[in-house]
Amino acid sequence: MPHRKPRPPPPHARTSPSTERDREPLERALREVLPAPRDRAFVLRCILDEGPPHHRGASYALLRVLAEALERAGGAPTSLAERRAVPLRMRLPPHLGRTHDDDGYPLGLPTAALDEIFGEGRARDELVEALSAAPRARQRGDDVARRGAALAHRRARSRCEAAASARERLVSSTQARLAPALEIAAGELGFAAASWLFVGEVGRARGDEGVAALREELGREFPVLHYCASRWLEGERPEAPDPSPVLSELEGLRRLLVVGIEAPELDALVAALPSELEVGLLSYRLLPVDWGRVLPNFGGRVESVDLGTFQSWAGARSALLSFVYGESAGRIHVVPALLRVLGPDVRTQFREIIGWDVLGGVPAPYPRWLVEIDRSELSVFIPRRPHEPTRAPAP
Amino acid sequence: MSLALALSAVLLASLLLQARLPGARLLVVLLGAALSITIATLGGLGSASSMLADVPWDVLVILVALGLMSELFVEARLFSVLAVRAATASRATALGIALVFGSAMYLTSALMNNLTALVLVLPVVLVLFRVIGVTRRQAAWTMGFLLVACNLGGAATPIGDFPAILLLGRGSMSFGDYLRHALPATFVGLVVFGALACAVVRRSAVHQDAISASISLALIRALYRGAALERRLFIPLSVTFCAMLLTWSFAPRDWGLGAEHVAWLGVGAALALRPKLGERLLRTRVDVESVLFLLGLFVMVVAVRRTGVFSEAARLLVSLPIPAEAQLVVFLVVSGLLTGVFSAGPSMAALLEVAQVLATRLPGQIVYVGLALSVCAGSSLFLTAATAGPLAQSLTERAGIVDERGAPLRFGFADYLPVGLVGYAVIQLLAVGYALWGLASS
Repeated sequence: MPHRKPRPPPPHARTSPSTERDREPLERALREVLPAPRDRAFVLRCILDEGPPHHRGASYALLRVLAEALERAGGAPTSLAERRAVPLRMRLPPHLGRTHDDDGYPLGLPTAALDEIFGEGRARDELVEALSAAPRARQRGDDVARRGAALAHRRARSRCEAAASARERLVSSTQARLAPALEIAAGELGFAAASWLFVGEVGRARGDEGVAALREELGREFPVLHYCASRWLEGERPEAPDPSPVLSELEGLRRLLVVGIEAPELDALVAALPSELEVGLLSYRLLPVDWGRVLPNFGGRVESVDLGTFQSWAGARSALLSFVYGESAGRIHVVPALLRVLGPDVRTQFREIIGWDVLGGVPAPYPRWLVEIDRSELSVFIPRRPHEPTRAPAP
Repeated sequence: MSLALALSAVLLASLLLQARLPGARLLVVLLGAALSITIATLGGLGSASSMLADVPWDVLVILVALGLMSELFVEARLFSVLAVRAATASRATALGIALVFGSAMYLTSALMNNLTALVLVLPVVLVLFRVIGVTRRQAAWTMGFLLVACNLGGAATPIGDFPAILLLGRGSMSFGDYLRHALPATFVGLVVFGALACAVVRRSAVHQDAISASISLALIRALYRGAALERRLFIPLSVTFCAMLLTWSFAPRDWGLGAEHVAWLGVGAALALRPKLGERLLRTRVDVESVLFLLGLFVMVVAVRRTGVFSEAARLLVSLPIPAEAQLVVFLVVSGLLTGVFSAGPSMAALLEVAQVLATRLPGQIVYVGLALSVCAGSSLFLTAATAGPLAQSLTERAGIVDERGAPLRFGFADYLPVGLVGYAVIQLLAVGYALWGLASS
């Protein structure tokens, strides 16, 4: 059943007055490390003004204690800025990060203390990787995310290596050849549909061993595929989606604007929709899409809508639908395009903002290509039906 | 004489400039035409209206009509269905892709606008490449084969491509005569060149496993899952098109039904099958660029023809102290090379004037079909010689495929050149062989 919840305060509201008041000690402590005022302001904004309030509060508390300790110890050593530091990379969508050369934060991770304690070796490298990986991946503490962070760190070792994509480095193997194909499939079928297609074909041809190998090789690059492969190994098989919960939410509406694509869900939904309901598909995408190929699959029922004109689809009898890639503790993963249309000016212009979960769980590696938002950003959340295992899980 | 020189210079400069600046080719040719009319009018060769009256409008009518017919078949989803079926038939193997898609492009281009077919078929090939992996050489020979097959298909029937349409529109050859002579010759060319291309593809293909083939086919089926023939449009459309083909082939001359008349009537009837769609296609899908480009060329050619330059060139050719057969061979080889530089439309428009003089001394069908084959050879020489080449280049490079070394896949001028040289040699030899064999047997 769809969940309807009263909306809590916006999760990404600006900093609370209490932290705003005490920025000065942190600003002072960062001066040695980040001499440029604009770099400092950027780093402080990322730490104190962005993300959920409890993250901001925790970061503030730790940094404030550290700043206090430094001040009592006579300030940060002046040589700190010159010490060896591992660059911290932004989490850009993978295909953009490959060619971008301005994807690092101004603040690096100094490794002198770790070098001193652990010396050279794998243990030290793993800790550096854990510290320089995405904060959320670290919080989950899962092994796959750690390995993903290792991959990210290896990329950061040199700009040349960073520019070379995982696809290029793995090009000799069959799975690596599948990576670019998965990109095109994800763009036009959706991440979940593409992943199930690849996992299914590999599973049928090579069994669980092949699926496990596919997960190992491509799972870090495509976390949704990692999730689907894991589900496959646990006995799950893709099922025909049931659009009835969405249909009941759309009753009496005139227009539906869909953000993102998941071909099986959208096919089933469009086929079941009343003919008088207009359906638009937002054309803004991270991955290249051949719209001449995508739209005819819906038999003329769906039209392409661009970012500049999508508000012409707004109205008291309009709904906005996006696909959700798992929900955990009130947080959901969605395609970045949803953030582009879900501004405060737009939220009240659609009767419903519906999220339809197509995974039923959160991918273990950090879900690149997707963004995490609070579930309360939606007016309706439709969870995925729980799966009944059809066979014993693979060892 | 100075008038002839000035108008020839304008024609030549426009042709060179449009080849050098393909992004501005329409502007170059239309300005050249305007300049030609001005020079001709000032030189007393005739007014703009008299020169426009000499433009072969029937050819433009056929071109527009066949373009619209192709668009109707696109709406009936014929090309998408063909592309998916071709992918399945190829079994996603390197050799299968070259063989099946090459043959499909030949057949399609013989009846439809090859650019439309290429735009719809090439993305399927590129998706297959993306999954199964491809070497740069394999890609160049596979894509090159598709382009050469398009050119051969276009020359196979009188409605396949502009040079043949020009022969039909001008009344140089009847529909049936052209088909009887050109179809077998181009088919031989397809088989010979296809065998060479497939041999190279086979040797240069990456090692392929069953899983990438099965994934690529599953992916194609998923991407084109809605690709089903729209029978309610396709069946009456096919009936109309068949009626046009039959009328072109068998209608007695004394009925007075010109090729352009049949095309106009036929496409009008076909568009009327779906009035709303027909109106939309008429308003948005007519290939205005091609029409204006050819109009500009025809105007320049008309102006030069009025100075007698083409007759003089033909006179020089027939006065060469060599046998008539050798004169024809020289003409055909020069035609092929000129087409390689100037592309098919401009070359054919100018060379047909010379061919008409040669056809008064030699059997007409041999001269015209030989010319059509030579123009086909020239169109295959360089990537830039036919419009399909740059289109294939941009589609390939936009597809973001990587080659065997992990580098972005390119299909540029140099990649195509070996394919083009072999294709040119095969088809040019075919044209010369056809002409000599035809002369010997007549």
